[in-house]
Amino acid sequence: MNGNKSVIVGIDGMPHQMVEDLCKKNVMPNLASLLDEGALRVMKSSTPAVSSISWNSIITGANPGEHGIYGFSDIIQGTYSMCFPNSNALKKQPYWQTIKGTHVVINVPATYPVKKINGCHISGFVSLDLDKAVYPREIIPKLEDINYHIDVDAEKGHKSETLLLDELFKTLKARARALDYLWDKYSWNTLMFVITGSDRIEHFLWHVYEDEGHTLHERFLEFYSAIDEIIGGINNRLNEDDGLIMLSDHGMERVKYNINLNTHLINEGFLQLRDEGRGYNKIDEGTRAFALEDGRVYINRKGQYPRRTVAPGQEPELKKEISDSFKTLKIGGEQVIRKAHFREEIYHGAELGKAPDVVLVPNKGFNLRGKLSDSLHEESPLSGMHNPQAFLYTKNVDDSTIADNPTVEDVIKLVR
Amino acid sequence: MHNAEKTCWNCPAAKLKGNIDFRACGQSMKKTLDEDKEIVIECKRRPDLGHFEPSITFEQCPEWRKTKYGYLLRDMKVMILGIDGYLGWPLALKLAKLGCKVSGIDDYTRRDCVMEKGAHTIIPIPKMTERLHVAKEVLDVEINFRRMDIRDFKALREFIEEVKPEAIIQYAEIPSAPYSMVDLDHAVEVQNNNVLGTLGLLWIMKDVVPESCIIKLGTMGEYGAPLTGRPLFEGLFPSDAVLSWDDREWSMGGELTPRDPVSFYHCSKVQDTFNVYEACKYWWLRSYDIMQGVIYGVHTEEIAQDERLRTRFDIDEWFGTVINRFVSQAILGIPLTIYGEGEQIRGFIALEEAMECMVRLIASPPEPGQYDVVNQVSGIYKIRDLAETVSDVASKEFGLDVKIQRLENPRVEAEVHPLEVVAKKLPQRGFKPTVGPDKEIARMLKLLNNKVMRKRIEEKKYSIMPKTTWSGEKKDSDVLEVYEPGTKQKTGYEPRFHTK
Repeated sequence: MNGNKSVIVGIDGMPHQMVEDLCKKNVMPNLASLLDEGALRVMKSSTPAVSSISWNSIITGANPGEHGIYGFSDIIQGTYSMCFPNSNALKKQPYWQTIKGTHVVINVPATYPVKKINGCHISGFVSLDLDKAVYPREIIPKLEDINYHIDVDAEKGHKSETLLLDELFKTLKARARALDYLWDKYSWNTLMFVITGSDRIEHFLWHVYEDEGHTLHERFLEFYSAIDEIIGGINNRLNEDDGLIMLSDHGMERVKYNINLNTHLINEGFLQLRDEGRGYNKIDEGTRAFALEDGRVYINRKGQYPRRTVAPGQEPELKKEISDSFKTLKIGGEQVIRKAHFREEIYHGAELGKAPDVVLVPNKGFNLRGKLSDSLHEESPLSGMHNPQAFLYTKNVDDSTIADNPTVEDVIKLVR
Repeated sequence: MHNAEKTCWNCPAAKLKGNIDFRACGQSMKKTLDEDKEIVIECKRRPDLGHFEPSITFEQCPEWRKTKYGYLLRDMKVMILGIDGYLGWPLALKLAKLGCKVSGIDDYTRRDCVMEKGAHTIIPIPKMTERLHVAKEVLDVEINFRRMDIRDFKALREFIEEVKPEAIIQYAEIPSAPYSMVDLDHAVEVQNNNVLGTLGLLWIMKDVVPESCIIKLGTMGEYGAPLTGRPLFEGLFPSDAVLSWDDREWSMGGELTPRDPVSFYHCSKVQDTFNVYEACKYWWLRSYDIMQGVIYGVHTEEIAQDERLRTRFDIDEWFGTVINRFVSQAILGIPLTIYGEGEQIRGFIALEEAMECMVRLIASPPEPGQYDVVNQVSGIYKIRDLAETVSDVASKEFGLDVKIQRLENPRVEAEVHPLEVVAKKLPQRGFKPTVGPDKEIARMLKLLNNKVMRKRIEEKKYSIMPKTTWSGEKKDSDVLEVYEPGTKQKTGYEPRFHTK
């Protein structure tokens, strides 16, 4: 940054291609004119392309092997119980704890519970108690006054598309009010503001975006116009030399099928289940590997899990066996897995031991799930799924240190 | 261990935080408990775990430790409402000895009701202050007691907020069919205390400790004794039960079984059943409704440690249960009183066994929203057969000369009927009956057949004979027959009992 004020605007889940598309169609005119004043790049999301990993890499500049967050879920040591790591599990500090100055942070996902900060911090999804999601707590009554919500209720999206849209607009409006309030309340050096409704609308209504004849298509686009108005407002309030960074954490694409990786592991003899137990507690003796959401495969290692099976010497061969097995997986003649990474190939750092042993990257449209299910593939109740093609936009920012094809871990260099 | 595979889903330390839908990166604060989405909890005891799914097993969790009754939550906070009573006090001592943090309330209703009827407990019991002192002195346990009427909802709420119990035992009810049939005032007081007390408790639990389990004492008498011989399932029909009518069939699985209460007291228990059932449905509370058989006995390991720790023992027509009454009559040489034909069949359980069952249930909480029912009986017997058993033990082991008398039945009830009881859930939780009538009757006679106790029985012997009739008349029951034990042929129905 140039020593002036810096603003980082996040649009969760907005793919690079969508930025170009909506600017071209004049749905987002403010963003379109900003493109002429700055630089737009494709940015590679985290692996896997999941918000909790990606945002934590953005705010710390660290690889998952260093910051220790590998997804929205993880397994509690010594059990098969899933936990949902939060900011207490983050092993690297976000920039607002390391860079001097006053910082305003609004709605950055996976930063709950908030900690003391010079400035203010409202965490984003997942934030289960408002009083642990806001620092300082004195601003909570004001947030309640403006009807601020951390997130739309995902439950509503499953009930009704129009109800979801109404909620998305309401939530966005309240978030914009919070931005206005905090913009003026603090004399800040950096302000980070993330819109997450974009991710929700894309998950639920990607088919509406793709289908220009859909009755809700215009309403879908109006949501992005509303985002664009906020962007315009921010830009108008910036001084000439203030820096502006806009970015997403991952992209989005149409889902073809949900793929239940554990079903493949059962079919191929890697995973055995018993009748008793809830969730992954069904994992039985004899299991060599199991999968969590988003393509993460774990070896059922002795010393790490209760009904462990695999001794240390067997791991390298087993990882290759798992990788080879998934590479042959086909649905409707199409290969499901594009790439299978061993953890040491993509992660590095002190937290590497907690990483999934094999990380699978899907081909287009195959949504990798960790469900324990009888069927290998299922129709998805959602039409959008993540992909790695995020975007990065910079204006008045020294971006000479980053490559033309940056990753989420590079963003911190712009903030520094 | 019977509860090794139970998980946080059952654990009162798990605080439900909402649902997360990972498919849509969405969260919902609505506590729908929809298992298709990830249910997120926090552990009140292990905040370091952050948010997680409720699937750590008791076996895996360091907060649950092994005891002979199954895994038990370390320092589990258990509140006993009615802690001064026949059951409340021995349970408090047993739990405290197991390491639970026991609290409780009582307003001495039982002491007052017995006194009001001119009776007294045959086994002397000290005042609560002394009981607590002796518990500390002899067993080295602390019990947090408050004198309180369960219907003082403000005080009850404050106490529950202060303690935050992880299980609540609802014993604070007036446990007597004849007492509820004395007159209008007694019927109203029984139903008011029992029904409204429990209803208030449910509302307070909803607000303050929704994760806690309510274990409420019901009675096998809620079911009545169906003349068709239809089995008495554990509160709810099993999954394969079918109603057949007009050439059509319906599954009855999971529905409440019929109730046929046999006094206004039993009606209060049935109303409780519906109130608890609905509260579980509306508010995701969890409960065990304990359909306890007729209780008897004087012994648990803890109360046997010191005579000042003993529990009360009533023999009067209102609060004396049948075996306890028979034993007292045997000691005084009064013919044992059976009502009518004496072919009534009932479920029974010894005090020591009932206390063990309660610990096993406390250790094995139901799931959120689950209304579960257990038939807490260790055997089913005919009343006249039990009179024979008491006579047998009293004469052979204690040299007492015992006769049996049949009285005109003061109650409205079937005197000859089949009875088939299903009681599988407690055996599934590791309970094996080890006491039985013979052993406990011998213990009772050993404790009571001495000069001091005989005198105390003698003082109140007039209170044994029934004067309260279901018709509302106040009169002594006529003696229909007096006979020597062992002289009657077996007649009527054979009890049927399923535990596996």
